[in-house]
Amino acid sequence: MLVLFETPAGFALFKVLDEGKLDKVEDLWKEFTSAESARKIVKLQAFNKFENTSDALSAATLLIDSKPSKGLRKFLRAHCDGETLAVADSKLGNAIKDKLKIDCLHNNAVMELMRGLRNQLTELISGLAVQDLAPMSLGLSHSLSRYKLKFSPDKVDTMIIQAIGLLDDLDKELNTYAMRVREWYGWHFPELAKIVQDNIQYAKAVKLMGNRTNAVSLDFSEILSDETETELKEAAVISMGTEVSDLDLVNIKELCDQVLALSEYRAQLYDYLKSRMNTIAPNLTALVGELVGACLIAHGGSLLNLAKQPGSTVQILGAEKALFRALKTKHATPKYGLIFHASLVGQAAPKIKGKISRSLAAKTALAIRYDALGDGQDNSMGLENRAKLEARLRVLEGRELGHSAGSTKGKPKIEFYDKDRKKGAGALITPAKTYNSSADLVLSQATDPTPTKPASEQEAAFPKKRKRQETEPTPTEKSTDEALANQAKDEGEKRKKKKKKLTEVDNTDSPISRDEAEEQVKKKKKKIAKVENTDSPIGDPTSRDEAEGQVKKKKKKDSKQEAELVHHPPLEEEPSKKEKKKKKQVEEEQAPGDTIQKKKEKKKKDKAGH
Amino acid sequence: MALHLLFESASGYSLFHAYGLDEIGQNTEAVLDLTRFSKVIKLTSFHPFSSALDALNQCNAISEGIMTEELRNFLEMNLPKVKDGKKAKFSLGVAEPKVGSQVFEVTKIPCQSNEFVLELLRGVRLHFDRFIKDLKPSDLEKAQLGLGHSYSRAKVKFNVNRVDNMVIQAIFLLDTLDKDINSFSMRVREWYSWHFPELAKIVNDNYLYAKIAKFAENKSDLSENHIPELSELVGDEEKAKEIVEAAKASMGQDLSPIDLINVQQFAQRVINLSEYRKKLYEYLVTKMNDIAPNLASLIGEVVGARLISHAGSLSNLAKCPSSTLQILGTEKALFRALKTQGNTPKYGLIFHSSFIGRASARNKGRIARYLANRCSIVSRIDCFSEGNTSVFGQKLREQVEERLDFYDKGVAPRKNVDVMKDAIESVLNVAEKDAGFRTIPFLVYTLDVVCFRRRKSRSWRHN
Repeated sequence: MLVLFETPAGFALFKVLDEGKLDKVEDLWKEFTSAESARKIVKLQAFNKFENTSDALSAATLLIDSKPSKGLRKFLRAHCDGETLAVADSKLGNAIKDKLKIDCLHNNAVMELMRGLRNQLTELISGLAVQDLAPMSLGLSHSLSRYKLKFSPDKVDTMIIQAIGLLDDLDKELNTYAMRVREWYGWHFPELAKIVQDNIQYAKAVKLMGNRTNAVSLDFSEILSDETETELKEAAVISMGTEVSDLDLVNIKELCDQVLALSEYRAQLYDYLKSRMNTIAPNLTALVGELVGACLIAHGGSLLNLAKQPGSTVQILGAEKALFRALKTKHATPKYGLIFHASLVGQAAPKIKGKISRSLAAKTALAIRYDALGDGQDNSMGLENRAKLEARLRVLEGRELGHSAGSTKGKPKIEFYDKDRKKGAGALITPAKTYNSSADLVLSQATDPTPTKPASEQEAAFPKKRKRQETEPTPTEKSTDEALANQAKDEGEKRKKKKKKLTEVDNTDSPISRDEAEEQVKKKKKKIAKVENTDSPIGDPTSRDEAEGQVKKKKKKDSKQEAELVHHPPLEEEPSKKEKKKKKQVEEEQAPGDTIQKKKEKKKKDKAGH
Repeated sequence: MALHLLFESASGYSLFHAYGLDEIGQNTEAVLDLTRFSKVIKLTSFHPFSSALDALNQCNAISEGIMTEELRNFLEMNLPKVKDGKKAKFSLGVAEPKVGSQVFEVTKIPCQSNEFVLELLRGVRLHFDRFIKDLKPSDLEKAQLGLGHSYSRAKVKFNVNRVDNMVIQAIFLLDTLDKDINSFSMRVREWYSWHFPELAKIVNDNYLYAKIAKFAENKSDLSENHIPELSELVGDEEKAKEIVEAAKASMGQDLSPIDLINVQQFAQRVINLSEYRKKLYEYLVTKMNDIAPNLASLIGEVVGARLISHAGSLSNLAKCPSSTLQILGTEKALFRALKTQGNTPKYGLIFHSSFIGRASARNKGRIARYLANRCSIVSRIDCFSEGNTSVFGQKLREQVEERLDFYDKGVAPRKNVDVMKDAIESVLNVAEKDAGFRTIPFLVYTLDVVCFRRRKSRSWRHN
């Protein structure tokens, strides 16, 4: 009787010498306790070694499915004529019986025999030591499990992580080397560093030129533009650099070669990264681009790890430091991490960058999951989502445009406009926009922040605008209504006090603000007689509104003035007196935040006023 | 009588014609005022220098009071002919009387050089860029700068082959290269190990690993047929067999072809970088032998180059006392020690010399001091002697060896005087063969100052 035994190294056939022992199944293990006794029972008949791991893998996978491989069939045909064959797998036995007409045996005794054989395997098979067998079984088990998992080498994302790391390294090193070339060759031709800015061009030029005296007779047209070429040739003639020996030049040129080769390799690596990203994570790539996608994967550790992250995490991946700092200090958390470099976020206006990055992160998270766990190979899902995001971007931007209705173009002066937009946002329960005829006459007025509206609209709109402005800087401030009421009260008091003339100077905030307000009113008084006449009771809503309306009208004038000075943001420009007052008023309302310095200034002004 | 002016600018010769001189006289105000000045002075011709080299030659000639061919042609072409025996009706104003006399001798053009002419030339120099229309002001400045630099270099007998800056650059580059090659090779290892993890253990050398990774490509293709080539790469047949065996039973995963190609390319990059490093090292060695042969032979090229780069230049190094040289490179430890009143460090960069490694622990400090001592002598010889010999370095190296022996086994070293005599004799021998060796007296003097007196004072202190 023969025993077929499969090892990671190959198939082994043992001849059973003493078949009688097989009857006593319970005692069979005793025979295999030592190598000598085992040799009395079984003897190695033949051994068929696997060529390499892939061979072993194919044989092993067939065995698992209880099918004899081609190699096994050949082996059995050669060595197993007319004898019964003991096998460990009954199904395999049947298969062999069918195909090779060899009687197969499978029972308890055979299993026990196999156990014993496995125990003494290295002793029984000569030339198969433990140290040989161990790596083979390790290799086989690794490849077998990979096979079982339907592992595809195309889906290895470690390479991407490596590649993106290498890309960063290469950039850094390339820069170092290029700088070294500049420094080294600068000894000979210092002017060149200024003439040729680009590192690669510099290296190419140096490589071509060698000694600078050659420059005049050479043709740089392939490397440099015409102007720089002539400039270079002129400078080469009158350069103040030292002469260098030929040996030095040879070495400098070799360094240039290295720089060029490295940059070339960098380009190759970038191409590689692109193609890999397109196979591994096509949807992610479609959404955020190759580099950002690769950075995300590298940051997450692997595509699978990244797939486990929620969109919010993806959004701020790479900005951990800022995030935890913000959490600790209770500030606003960052809006974007690595995703900031995606083109979609780049396209968005500063105002809506946060929104877009949030939506993008959400879609990116989905795309990553699809890439990591889905079976789809194309990037249709990514493209679809990208189109959606682009549409959303347009919608958001369109809304932004709507806000700044007066402007002809969507790009307002940034700082100026942001402020106004904040005010306007609440007010726009969108009244019908009238055509702003002033906009198309003078270019500088194109960015007029407060389009002309019917007076009634203004009255409705401005108080709300006002509220926004007040609440935004200090949210903890007392409610805006109160503030407005106070202001009205102040104004009432002021008119009385004005006659008395203030002599005392208080240190507390409120008197100062009163003083300021008073001054303001003094100025206003001449123009806005109405407000003074309607000496209204404190907090009377109608009169307040009216008064506010008047103030607003004045404001409007101010803002027109501002519009003429559009090129300067309001804080920087030399404000007119009226505007100063207005600003101060705003400052008063933020009184808690006032700095001591400002107070002092105010005091001084008060004194001067008296 | 008409007065012509010769003005030498950095970009070329120019001739001016001066007339109506009474109006201007020696009034400095008029010279400063361009409108008035240009009424009396007119540019007649301009001869640009063909190259920086030409300019330098002309500049040298003028400074030595010699008239060059170009200048002569220029003058004869642009000034009226002087007939023999007749007195010329004009004169040429030059700044340098020597040039003037030379011009007169050769061409019979009467020259004058006095305060008045100088004053006029001052005006010309001031307004030069206005006289010549095509000249941009920055051009003239650049030309002046370039000429000035090359002129002064020529004056100080600048030797191209002895620029220590190159060594400094090279040693910096060598350091960066070492770092990069190491990090890149680590990356190759990591990368290729996905495919063939067993190779990293078999081959330790980074360069060799990259080569094998490049050669082996896909590990499953590796078979017995490759052993000869592989053993040629590895230099050891056993290892080659081991690699092939390991490849057969490897547990590494398969890589897609594009990954493999990428790994190959990267391995190739690493190989190229390593080869470049080798070349650079050779370059450094030859350079060091040109610049500081004695220092190189005493302490080795790399350590020597590091010393030079740390000091900033060879002459800076030569100015260091040996105590400074001894702790060059450990400034941090030194100042910390000084601040905390601890022990100052025993050695800096010279620790990398093999001598210190060979000394026993308690003698390390002594030998470092002695070595620093020799290094400072040698660097002075290298810096200030004009001959190119490494005899002193070799002799001093022998001295250090003897000193090591002395500390180790108690063998008494030779006397310093004897060694130096030896050295000088051998230098003289060489010098006799090579008659061009002009610097013996200087060398002897240097040695006298640097070695003997120093030793005397030291021995006196020991006693």
